[in-house]
Amino acid sequence: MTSENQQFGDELWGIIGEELAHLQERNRFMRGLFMGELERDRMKLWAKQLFLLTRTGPRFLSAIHSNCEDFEVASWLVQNLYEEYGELAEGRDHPSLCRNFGRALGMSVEELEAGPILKPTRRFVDFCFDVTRNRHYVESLAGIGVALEGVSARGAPMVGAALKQHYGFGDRDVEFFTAHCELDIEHSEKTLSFVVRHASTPELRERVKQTVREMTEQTIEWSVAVGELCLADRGEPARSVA
Amino acid sequence: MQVLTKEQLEEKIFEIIGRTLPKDVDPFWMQLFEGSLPLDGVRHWAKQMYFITQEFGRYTSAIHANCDVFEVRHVLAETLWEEHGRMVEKKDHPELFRKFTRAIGIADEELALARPLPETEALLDGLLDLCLHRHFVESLAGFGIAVEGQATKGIPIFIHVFRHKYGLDDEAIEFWTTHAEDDEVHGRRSLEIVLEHATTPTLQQGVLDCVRKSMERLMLFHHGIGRGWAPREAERLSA
Repeated sequence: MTSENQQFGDELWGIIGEELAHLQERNRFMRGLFMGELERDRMKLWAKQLFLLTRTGPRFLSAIHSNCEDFEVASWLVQNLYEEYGELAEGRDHPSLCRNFGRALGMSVEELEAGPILKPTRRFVDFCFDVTRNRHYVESLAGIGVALEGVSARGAPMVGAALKQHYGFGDRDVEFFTAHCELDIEHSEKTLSFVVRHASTPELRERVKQTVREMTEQTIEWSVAVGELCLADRGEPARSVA
Repeated sequence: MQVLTKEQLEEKIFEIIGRTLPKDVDPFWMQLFEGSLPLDGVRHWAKQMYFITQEFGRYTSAIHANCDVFEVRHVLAETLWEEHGRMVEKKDHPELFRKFTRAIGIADEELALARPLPETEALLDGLLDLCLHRHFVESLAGFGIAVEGQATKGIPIFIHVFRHKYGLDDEAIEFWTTHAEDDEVHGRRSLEIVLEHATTPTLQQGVLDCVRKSMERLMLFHHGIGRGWAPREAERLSA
């Protein structure tokens, strides 16, 4: 990587780091989870939101692919998509791993899948679709592959460890949080290398930075808002989950 | 309006396809099928075909992005995986096609400089619009059943002609042998999904409309290749 590209990559991580700096003080739900102070039942509504996002996630990747004119990047997106589907092996796709977590919380698959979809989740999904369908593929790649995936790949193992340590979950129960985390970090780094290589004009680089900032903000907003709703246990009427 | 049974819907789809197919095969295509088309004509045809081949993955991913049924998305992800050669280097479909074009004397640089005919552009634009903006069932009908399904029909002939009339080896025609298997499966999957998920009169009508529009554009595309070749053929004969 050239020093200019390295600098641009560092700038993107800097934006994410800056946005994340105040996450823990704002996110009462996650703070409670890490301290072992959360009631297990409060996690049910949260797990339902995670399930919805996980199930919808591959659609963001394919939306980027449908706008992507570079074959190497398109292949990388298909590789990611393939892994989201557990390399097409039954029961290994990411939604199936999330179902294991739901079961460990005492929910049937039907209950997990029935929702409700909370408004912040709906807003976040709409935002991700808006980015991936309407922005340049390099911007979307940065938003989803670097900001959203990079952040969750780094945060998820900590959640998995806390769930095991404080709440007695087993390895299989938390596999959704721990599986592929090292691979996901590698992925987000490889995605970053594509982003810096393909963001070839100053104007596009500015737009990439803006998208990374917005995606990180929206991810945090979603996480905080869902956490508050889970703590208040204020679900909405069930809707079908795509 | 009444909901059609799966059998009725399938019958109507193939009725539209049958009606849209030309009664007489275009002379250009006839020469191609017979193996009597000059190599320059095959090159002209291949350049236009490449535009479509290159975009197959994007059409599939656009349908995937609009699809709200997990099981269908799973199938589409598998299709995409296959289009990209199951991630085996140089086995993706566009690369296999370039192996074919190189074998008939088109350098990659020349292929990259080729321009789509207006009819090719109309098919490309129509398919992208269909896959990006219509319900996934309609897109699968227009793209998967009509275009991908029909495109596979000529493949056994191409394999025979390229091997025996143009003397191409197995390596050169791998696109066609691989494609024949993959696309036949894709076309069948598309039909099964459409019949299963087109469950309202509106959606079924949309399916039939999209099959018709795609077939019309596909036929125009086929005709366009012959039309685009005619002046060059006349020039060649008068020389």
